[in-house]
Amino acid sequence: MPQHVENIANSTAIELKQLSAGYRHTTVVENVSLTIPHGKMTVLVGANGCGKSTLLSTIARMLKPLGGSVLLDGKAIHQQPTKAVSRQLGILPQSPLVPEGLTVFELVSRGRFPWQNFLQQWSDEDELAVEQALQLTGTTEFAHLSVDSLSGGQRQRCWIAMALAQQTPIILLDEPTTFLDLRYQVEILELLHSLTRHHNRTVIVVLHDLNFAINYGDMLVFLKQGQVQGIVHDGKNCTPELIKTVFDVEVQMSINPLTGKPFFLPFPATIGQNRWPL
Amino acid sequence: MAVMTMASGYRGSRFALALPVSLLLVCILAILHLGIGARTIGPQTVIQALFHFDAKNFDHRIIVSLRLLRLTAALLVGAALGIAGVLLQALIRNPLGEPHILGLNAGAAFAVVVCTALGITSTSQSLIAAGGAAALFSLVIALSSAGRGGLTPLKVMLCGVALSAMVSSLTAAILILDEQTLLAMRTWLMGDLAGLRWERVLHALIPLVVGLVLAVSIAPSMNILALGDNMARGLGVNLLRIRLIAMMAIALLCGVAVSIAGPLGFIGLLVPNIIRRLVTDDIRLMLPLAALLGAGILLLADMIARLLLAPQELATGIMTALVGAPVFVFIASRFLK
Amino acid sequence: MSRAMRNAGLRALRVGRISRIIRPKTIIYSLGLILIILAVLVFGILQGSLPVPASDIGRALFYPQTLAAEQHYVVWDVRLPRLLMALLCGGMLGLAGAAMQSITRNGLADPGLIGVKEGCSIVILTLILVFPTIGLVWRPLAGVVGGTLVALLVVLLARDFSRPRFVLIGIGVSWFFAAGIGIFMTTADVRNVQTALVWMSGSLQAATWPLLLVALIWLLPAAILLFITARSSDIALLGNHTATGLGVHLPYLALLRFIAPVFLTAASVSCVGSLGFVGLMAPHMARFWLRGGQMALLWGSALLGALLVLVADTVGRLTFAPLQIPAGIVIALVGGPFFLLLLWRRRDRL
Repeated sequence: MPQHVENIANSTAIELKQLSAGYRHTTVVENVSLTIPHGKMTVLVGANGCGKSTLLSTIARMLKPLGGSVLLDGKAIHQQPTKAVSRQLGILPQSPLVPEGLTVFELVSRGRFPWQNFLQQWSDEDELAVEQALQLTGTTEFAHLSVDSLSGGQRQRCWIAMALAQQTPIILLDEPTTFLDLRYQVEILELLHSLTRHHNRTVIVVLHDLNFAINYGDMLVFLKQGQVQGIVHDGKNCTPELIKTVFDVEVQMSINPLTGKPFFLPFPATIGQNRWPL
Repeated sequence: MAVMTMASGYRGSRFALALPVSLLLVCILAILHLGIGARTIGPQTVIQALFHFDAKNFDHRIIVSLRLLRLTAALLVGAALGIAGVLLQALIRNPLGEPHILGLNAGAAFAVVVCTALGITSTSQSLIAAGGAAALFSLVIALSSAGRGGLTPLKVMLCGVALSAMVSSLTAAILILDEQTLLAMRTWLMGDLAGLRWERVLHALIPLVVGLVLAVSIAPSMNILALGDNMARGLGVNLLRIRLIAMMAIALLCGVAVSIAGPLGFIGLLVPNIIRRLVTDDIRLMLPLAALLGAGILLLADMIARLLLAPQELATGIMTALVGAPVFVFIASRFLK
Repeated sequence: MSRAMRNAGLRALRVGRISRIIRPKTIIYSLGLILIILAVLVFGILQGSLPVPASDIGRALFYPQTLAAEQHYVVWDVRLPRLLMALLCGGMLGLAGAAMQSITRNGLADPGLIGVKEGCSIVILTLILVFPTIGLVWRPLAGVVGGTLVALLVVLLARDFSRPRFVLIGIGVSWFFAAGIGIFMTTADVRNVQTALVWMSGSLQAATWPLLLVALIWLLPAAILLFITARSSDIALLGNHTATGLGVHLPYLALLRFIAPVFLTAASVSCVGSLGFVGLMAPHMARFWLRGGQMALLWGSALLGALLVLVADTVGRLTFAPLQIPAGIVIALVGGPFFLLLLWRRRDRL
């Protein structure tokens, strides 16, 4: 059953129409219809295997849809030439490869590829974009070092810098904070947040951590077994029942005093009812 | 306990069937092999020649004085390579192990070519070949055991190829600089059973027997080695000693094979894989089967090599490579993900 | 120009409508390499069975008519084509190795390892047997066809060329075809066999000006293709997803960057036989000395490959004079230990 959700926001950048996605003979995501709000952070959440990475990859045109379509500004993304799309959409995949000995500066400058051609391989705009990206991510100090000599958090920031240098209005990230220290997780999410607020980018991100997702996401899409279970805007209407359905865990909801948004603790609601015999 | 006895009993029954069948096959192939040549001789006559030898019968004389030599050589070389293959694959725990690939043949051939070029023809050519084989093989194993992952199939293979290529180039260089040696050795270099003399075969017998004895003596320990280094150590196996003896046995057997027939490849690859698939992976049982199967395959290859482009005789080693290489590719694509 | 860029060793170069990002150190080193090549070239022209006095080098190159007839012949008909051929083939193999290693993301890939040489040789040997009088021009064509077919076979069997088993399967396939070559080697006339052995071992003796031209014709399109796709190749190194995200059309790129090296290797083998693992060594040496992306790697590998073959040929020609050792054997003798060193350095990663 298609679940179409209308969004109240201003201009739409990406629209999913009855999208089914997966791999050759396996359908992972079924019949999803969604409108991604412009200039906001959309977070895809769900348990492992629910299809969130597959969905993101299909939006990013890495995978061909098995049914339905992904529309970028009204046109099917898979039919547009890939270089044109790369000027609109930037991607940070889950485990990117780093060639040996590549410096941070070179990595970030790779992000300018969609804007370059054979003659113009390093225009003023390219240089400016890379500088800006380095500054925004705080990686200017070690721009001359090789990427594989950096820590996990620093490396991730370099990849985000590359995506920023691409200067696309839309950025997609697949689990950018997994395996990072808490401090770096917060740093990166704050960076992404400010990109939407101050630089007018649209960000779609797959996150593992529910509470971070609620805190930073303007729109949360809950996925379970390839279908949309619920959509939460600005933390409203996010109920423990929804969490139970999606993650199969009892949670207790509290309100974050700093942001007014909910956060969830995985405790049984009825404390004192021992489930485990001692 | 009961499970283990049942399993070995089951394997034992397969072996009990396989052994006589292989023996029979080898006998048949041997008789056919003796019949091939410039003058085709029927099986009946062959059997007669072997059991009721008549010195006045021309066919009988051909069989005994000419062809019997080639048959004996083929049987010995095939058996040696088969057994060496079993030991080698058990040693490096890798179904892609093979004397040819891992540099044994290249080392042996190099040693022999150097001696021939220098004019040293000695009775212990097998030992020289074995020495060359052992040296290069030890180098391959030593190099590929280095590093965090230890002895992985990929590293062993690559080291074997690199060292073989290097040593083969040296051999090629010598042959280019010395046309006489090239003439004498070009067919031998491909691995062939033509142009043999009884002396060579007889001189190889002692190293062969020593190699066989060593192989049989370590067979039970090799079975335990297959369980992994730690398990084997826990069960009281002296890893270093077993490995050294195994390498000696392999080198001797390969040295024998190379000194008689030149560097013949892929028999050591095919034989253990076939036996493991069809019969058993108990090394004690594999050894006799490997000897028979190796001999049989070599006889078959030799026959095809001589008949395929008759009257032109192809080097047997070419035949074994033409069949063996695709098998290698097949195993590689299945075994290595 | 920012401090970050400067610290990373990069500079911007803008001339009219063309803008590039360059690494000055790399350019200087490359120029140095070119000078070394020229020096060895001059040395090679002067040395040999008929030595030419050093003072005559100017005349030898620019006013050949003023030389003695013998000297003219030796320099212009024997040495120069041979030396230039060494440079050309070495460059081709270097380029091929660099391109293949980058597209397969496998530092041990080399068209020579996966059977291209054998496929090439078999077709050419067959050609010589069946059409002994055929013109020289047809050899590279036949060889390239043979080499490409074998390469495609390996890709088909291995299905995925970014995995290590690709190299192993390639090795297996090369053995199969080597057996085929063995059929020729053991059944043909001994003199033919020795000639063939020498040719297959990588001999530049047969180099002539027409052959040089043929090799050049094969080199240019493939090299141009590789240079044009160099930047995309840099992006492809970042992983399939990232590359697609940046707008690189991966299937086309992979095909082009796989076929071009095969062509180059097959063409080189067709002209002068097997030159060992030049394609394997040159890119690693280039990466060691020069920093930079695909462009630098391509240039560096081409120059180093050329230098390698030139030096090997000169050594093989002069060391045991009048006996000539084919360049391929000299390179194999050097390449073997080098390959092992490579394996040693990667021992933790394999």
